[in-house]
Order: sequence, then structure tokens, then C-alpha cells
Amino acid sequence: MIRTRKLCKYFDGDRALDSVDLDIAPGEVYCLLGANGAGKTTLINILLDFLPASSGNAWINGLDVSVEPLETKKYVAYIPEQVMLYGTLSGVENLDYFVTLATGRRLGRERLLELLGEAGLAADAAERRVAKYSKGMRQKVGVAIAFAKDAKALLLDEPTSGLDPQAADEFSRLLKKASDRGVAILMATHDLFHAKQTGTRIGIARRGKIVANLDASDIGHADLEALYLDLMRA
Amino acid sequence: MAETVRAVSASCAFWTVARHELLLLWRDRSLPIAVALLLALICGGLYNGLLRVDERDELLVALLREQDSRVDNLAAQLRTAEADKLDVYANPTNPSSLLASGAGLRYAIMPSAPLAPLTLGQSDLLPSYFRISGRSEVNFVYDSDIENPWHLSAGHFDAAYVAVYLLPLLILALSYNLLSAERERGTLRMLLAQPAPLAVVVLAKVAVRGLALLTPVAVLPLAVALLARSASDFWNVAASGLLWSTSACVYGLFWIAVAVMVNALGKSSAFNAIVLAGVWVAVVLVAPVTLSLAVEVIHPAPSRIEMVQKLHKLHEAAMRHYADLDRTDYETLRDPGPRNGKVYIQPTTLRYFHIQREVSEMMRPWMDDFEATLDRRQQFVETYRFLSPAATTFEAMSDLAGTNLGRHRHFQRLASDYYRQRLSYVFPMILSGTAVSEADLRDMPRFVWTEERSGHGIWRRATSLAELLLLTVALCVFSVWRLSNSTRSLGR
Repeated sequence: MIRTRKLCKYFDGDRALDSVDLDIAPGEVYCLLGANGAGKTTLINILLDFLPASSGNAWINGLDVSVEPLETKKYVAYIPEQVMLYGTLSGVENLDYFVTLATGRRLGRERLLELLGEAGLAADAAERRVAKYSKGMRQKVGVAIAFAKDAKALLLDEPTSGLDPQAADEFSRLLKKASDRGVAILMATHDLFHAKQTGTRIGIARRGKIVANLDASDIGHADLEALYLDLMRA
Repeated sequence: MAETVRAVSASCAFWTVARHELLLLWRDRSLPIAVALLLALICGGLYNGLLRVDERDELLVALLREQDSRVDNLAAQLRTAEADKLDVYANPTNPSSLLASGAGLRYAIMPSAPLAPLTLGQSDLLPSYFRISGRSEVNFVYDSDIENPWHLSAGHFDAAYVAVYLLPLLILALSYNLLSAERERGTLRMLLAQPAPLAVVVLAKVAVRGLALLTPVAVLPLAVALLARSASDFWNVAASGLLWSTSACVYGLFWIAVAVMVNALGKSSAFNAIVLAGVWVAVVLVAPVTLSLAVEVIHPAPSRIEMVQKLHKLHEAAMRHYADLDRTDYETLRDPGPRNGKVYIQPTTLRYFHIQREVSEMMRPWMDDFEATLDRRQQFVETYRFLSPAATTFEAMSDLAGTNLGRHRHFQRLASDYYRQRLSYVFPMILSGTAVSEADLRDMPRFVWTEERSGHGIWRRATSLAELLLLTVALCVFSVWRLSNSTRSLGR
């Protein structure tokens, strides 16, 4: 579903991504760990066509993201570290806007509330203006957009940073729900604990290269932390 | 097939963004406030325009009434004139009375056009009536400073002023941050992650603002013109009003295109605001004034001081020329006539009219030169008008409202013709001492106002508006190209 081959990105000669090969199948949650500047956000930006790759290719749902960027975006949902929405509109109105823009069809109010409910947002909160939302509540609207869009791929950039443990746990459960629906998920994160808890596979990026690719079930949390620190020190 | 799918998606994205934008602008009150302000300004401008034009129309009616009363009075005097009872100093049968500043004074009147309240233009600088007597032509024709370059750009508070000067400010105030606000709010990446072309998103955003602001400017003046000024010629007023509204809309679209272009550069809100404010100052204030100053430097109008000096010299020469007539024949005062259809014309009276006629004739080359200079100035302005869309639009609106310099010059030419017709009619009577009868008074030439043939003017205005529209389209094409290629840089 999400696939890259020999993906490279240079910024003024500095290497940000170095020949990245990635395959994320439907229902798989791939957690990409790495220090700041490891290339995690760059990878997501290329997949969203916010950045052109210097070389190599990236595909989502079989479509080359740089050749058919708009078509690709029909199948992708994106949740950044801070899901920023329109503060003067309610959660339902924000969802209505993004869903209609993404799918070209309007869902009824009941269905929108239902989707927000699935994402963990209570009906009374969904009717309130987003300006009063916490970060966790905004993340839930972001997830509801992904659900409503029926996205095949979900790109998450540090989604749990700044969330309290309960909200982060709730968020992990939502990702699990999405993966159960067959969504291929790429999550860039620093959070080893949630990567281990949520991910089916874990990648570790260093200086633009994926230096480790692990099956989440094959490694314990302590081992993951040790491996991560070893790779970062190397 | 793929193309069809993309087109449907673009149209759907357009309506979705437009609906969403309307909701956002309604919620933060910016659109209702801007529209209310614009409505208040247009209503104020229309009220002021109607008031000024009504005042002027009333004045013209009063002048005609006063003129009719004088003519009726003179006719009555001629009917009852008995030679031995006439006052020698106010003898109505004396032909000089037909050109005198009292009973003989006539008004050449330019009626206000139906759309005059929409664009007052230069109408209060350029007289809408001339006092035509036996005095030389130059005295009534050049009694205002029409050559003043500042008047080419000056405006009054009317609907055209609102459309040309204030509407762009409201458009820019609502549109300077179409994309930068999304980025600064943090919603741009969420927006760009959706399958909607960025150019369509921006066009939808700007369409909502444009529709909200251009509708009052297009509809209100047209409605007022039709309601208040179309009694005699509905379709003509409707056609002119539609053209006026079209001019306002094309001009508004130009500013919308400018705002979109600056937004497409992908800079911050502050940067956009500064650039757009600079463009407004350049287009609305600096360009028309620069154009006017350039006209003044390249084709300076003949000096008024020189004209007055020349007039004095010519007057002096004419006075010397007719010095032998500078006497009063007191013998005739006791018997002013008429006798056998003749009256005695005092030499001083004869001298006065000879002098006035000679001064008029001698001033003719200067006046022709002045006219030619005005033509050259007008031509220059026409050639370089594209540099100032504000001046182009204002001029188009003035043309349609009949408050432009061109219509006034046409009026001036009609008034000059009328002056010469009157002189040709009365002067032989003065020379031959023919007594005036009531029939002579009735047959005297009258001033008849006829509109200038406007085919050329309409074509000229249509061309300049088409040029402005072309410029607008070019800006839009550039913006769409730029937006289509900047999704990546904006999303970063």
C-alpha cells in the first residue's frame, strides 16, 4: 500500500533521505523511530508530495505520488503533530469540510457525529467550537477525517507527542482500529513505548537511512530501547 | 475519462471551499462588516450624487425659467412699443438689446445625463451652462481651469469614487491572506493533504469575497439609475447602467486578480499586506497623478496669464481701431425711434460690438490652438491610460455618466456655434440699424442641446475595459500557474 524504492532527498547537498526502501502492507502499522533530523518528516512530506524526491520513487495504493499527487491524496489521510483546524467552526463542521473536500460527497450530520464518536469524541464536544479543543480532541477529529475518508494509507507525524498518557493510549487504540480496517499506517515518532505498543513493525532511521527493520512482536521494550540507543550512538 | 473525473472533482472542491469560506467569514464577522461598510459607502455616494445632480438640474430649470420670463417680457415690450413713449436707454427695438447682458442674455445649457448621479466626475469643475451675450466668445468659454492636471484625477464622493478608490481597499482587506492565514493558522498542511487543486481552493476563496463585494457595487447604482433617472428612456439608461456596472466589476476583478497573484507568491500575511497596499497606492494614487503631470510636461496647456494678457492687448488694439466711434450722439437721444423700421444705433454701442467681434475673431487662432492642445493631451492620456486601471475605469464611468471632459468640450463647441449664430443674426441688424420686431425675437437662433455621437467613445471605452480584462486574465493565468507549482513549497 505504501511503497518506496531508492528514495533519496538532498537539501543543498545535505542528505536527508538515503535510498529508502519501504513496504507497508494494508493493516500494517509501521512505526519509524529516529532522532531529530533522521529524515522521518521528510519521508512523510515526500509521500504527501509536499516535497519532491531527489531520486527514487514513492507509491501509495499503486500510484506514484509525484506523478499523480491529487489522485494519491484521495487514498491518504494525514495527521500531523498538531492537528490544526478552523477554530471558529465546530468539530462536526471541520469534519464536514475536510470530508467533502476529500471525497466529493457530503455526509449527513448524524453520520459525522457517528464518525467523531468512533474516533472517541463525545457528541456535545463535537458541537463545540474547535478553538476550545485540547490537542487530544483535535487528534480525534484528525482520525475521524481518516475514517470518513476511508483512507487506504495513514501518515502520522509525531502524533502522540504532547499527549497525556491516557490520551496517547486512547490514540493507540484508534490506530489499532484503523489498522483492523486494513489501513496501512506509517507513524513517525520518538515515542518508543507507543511504537512498541502500537506498531506491527518498527523501523529505525539514522541520517536518512533505515538502519533497522524489526517485527514488533520479535522484540521486547527493553531490547528495543537498547538497540535504538546503540544505533544512535554508532 | 480521467480528465472528466478531475474536472468534476475540481468543481466539487470549488463549491466545498466556497461554502466553507462563507461560513468562516460569516463566523469571524469580517464579511458582514465589509459588506455593510460597502453598502453604507455606496448608499452615501449615490445619495450625494443624486443630491448634487438634482441641485444642478434645479438650477438649470430656474435659469431657463428666468430666461423665458425675460424673453416674454421683451416680446411684450416689442408688442406695445410706441416710438414716442420709449425710454432711450432701454429701447427694446434697438437690435443691440438682443445681445445685451440684460434682456439679450441667453443660456446655453448642457443637461445632466441619466447616469450623472453615479459619477459626478468633473461636472462641478466644468460649467453646465454658459451665459451667452454679445461679449466676445473667450469670455464665456474659458472661465474655468479645465487644463488643471489635478482635475484629471480628482474625484468626489459618489458611487464611482467608492468603486474606484474604496472598493479595492475592501477587496484587499478581505483577500490579502487567502493562503498565508491558512499557513499561519496551521491548517494549510491539512488542506494540502486533501485531493483538491490549490488553484481551485484559492479561486473559490476569492470568488466568495468577490461576489459579496462586487454584487452591491454592480446592482445598487444600476437600480438607483433605473428607479430615479429612467423615466424618459428606460432601455438607454438600462444599457448605460449595465455598462457602468460592468466597468465596476471588471475593475473589481482586476483587484481580485492582483490579490490572488500576491497570495500565490506564498509569502506571509504581513508581506502580502505591504505589497498590496503599495500596489493600491501606485495604481490608484501615483499612476493617475504621474500621468497627469507627464501630460502637463509634454503637452503643457497654454498659459492662462498669457491668454489674459493677449486678450487685454487685443482689446486695446480693437479699442484703438474703433476709436472714432468712441462718442455719444446726444442729438438722437430725444428721438430713439423706431422710425420706418429703423432705429438709431449709438456709435459707442456700435463700437462695443465691433470690439467684441474683433476680439473674438483675433482670439480664434489661440482658441483653436488651445483646442488642439487639449486634443493632444487627451490623446496622450488615452495612449498611456493602461498604466492606470483606476484612471481607465473612472474615465469609462465618467463617459457613461456624461460628466467627462469630452462631453463638456462638445457642449463648449455647441455654445460657440450658438454664439456665432446669434452674432450672425443680430450683427447685420445692428450695422443697418434695423428695428427689432416681435417676429425677429421669435426667429432668433435658439440653443439646442444634442448629444455627441457616442459610437467612437463607446468603442474607446470598450477597448480600454477589454484591455483591463485582458490584464486581469493574464494575472489570473500567472497565479494559477504559480499555485499549481507551489503546492510543494507551501506544504513544507
